[in-house]
Amino acid sequence: MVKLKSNDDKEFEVEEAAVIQSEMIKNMIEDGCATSVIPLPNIDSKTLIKVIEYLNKHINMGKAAETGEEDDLKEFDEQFVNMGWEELFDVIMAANYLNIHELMELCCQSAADRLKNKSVRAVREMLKITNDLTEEEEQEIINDAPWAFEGPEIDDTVN
Amino acid sequence: MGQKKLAFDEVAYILPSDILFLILIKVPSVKSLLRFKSISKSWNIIISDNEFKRTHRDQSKALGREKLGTNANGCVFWSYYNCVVGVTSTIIYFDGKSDELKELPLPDFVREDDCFGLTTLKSCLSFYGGNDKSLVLDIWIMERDGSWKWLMRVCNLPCICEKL
Repeated sequence: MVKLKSNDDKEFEVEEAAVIQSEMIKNMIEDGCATSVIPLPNIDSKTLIKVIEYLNKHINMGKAAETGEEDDLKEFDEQFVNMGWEELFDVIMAANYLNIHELMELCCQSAADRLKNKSVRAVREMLKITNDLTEEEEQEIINDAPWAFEGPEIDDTVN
Repeated sequence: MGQKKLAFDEVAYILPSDILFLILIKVPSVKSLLRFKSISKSWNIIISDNEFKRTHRDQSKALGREKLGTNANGCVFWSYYNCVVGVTSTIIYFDGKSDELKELPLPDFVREDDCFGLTTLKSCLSFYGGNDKSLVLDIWIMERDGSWKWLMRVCNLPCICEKL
């Protein structure tokens, strides 16, 4: 078992087979730096719980293919990314820091799928982005490809 | 205004530009990306970056999304459709005469769940499409005046979408 500590001082025990999906921790273990608790100063306990849930589910990725559990894993992934933007970004940041490639791919793809076809207004509102372009800059971007700003598929809803 | 600024800072902290790069590179629609350039300065910088464009193009090629355009009437046409949902989306074309990239309105005979592709027939732009359920493929060609003329129908195909 490997012990992880979140930045709000909560400790979690994770099986080594699960935790080595994180390249960062795998390297620490191989270098003999993981003898006691591994502090994770960038990750809060709420996010760490999500990440550990993912690691435990994906512990035997290779085996899933043999035992026909692939569909089960796919369903888990779909459910897993069903979270709000803020939580999703927290998991992405954690996956990036811990270097968990599959989790990073899954979450970034989910974010991209949610953004696709959204209107400019919808994206700004969903991600709380303040437009810092000048009116001229914005108009220039629109003039470069006016067709990209029109179409029946453009989705102005915020979710 | 003060509150808005705070919200922006919060997100800017959560999403450094290298992470935003990794997310945007996965947005399959070039049309969406061109639109997203107008979200903010940082989005514009990321999407306008040559490395971003190159990576996105390579990825699209690897996923088989990008095809070489179809040449007709002095224009090059591309059709995009969503491989996941399998529904039609957009035809864009580069007009060689005016040096402009434009969107071609979808022909009105295209139904909601159709898959389609573009090719050339008799040096005219040709549009072929059908849907999964009917298993028939209709072929149209574009007349000189820009109107579509129905050419033929192929029936009893084993499948439609995968073929396209």
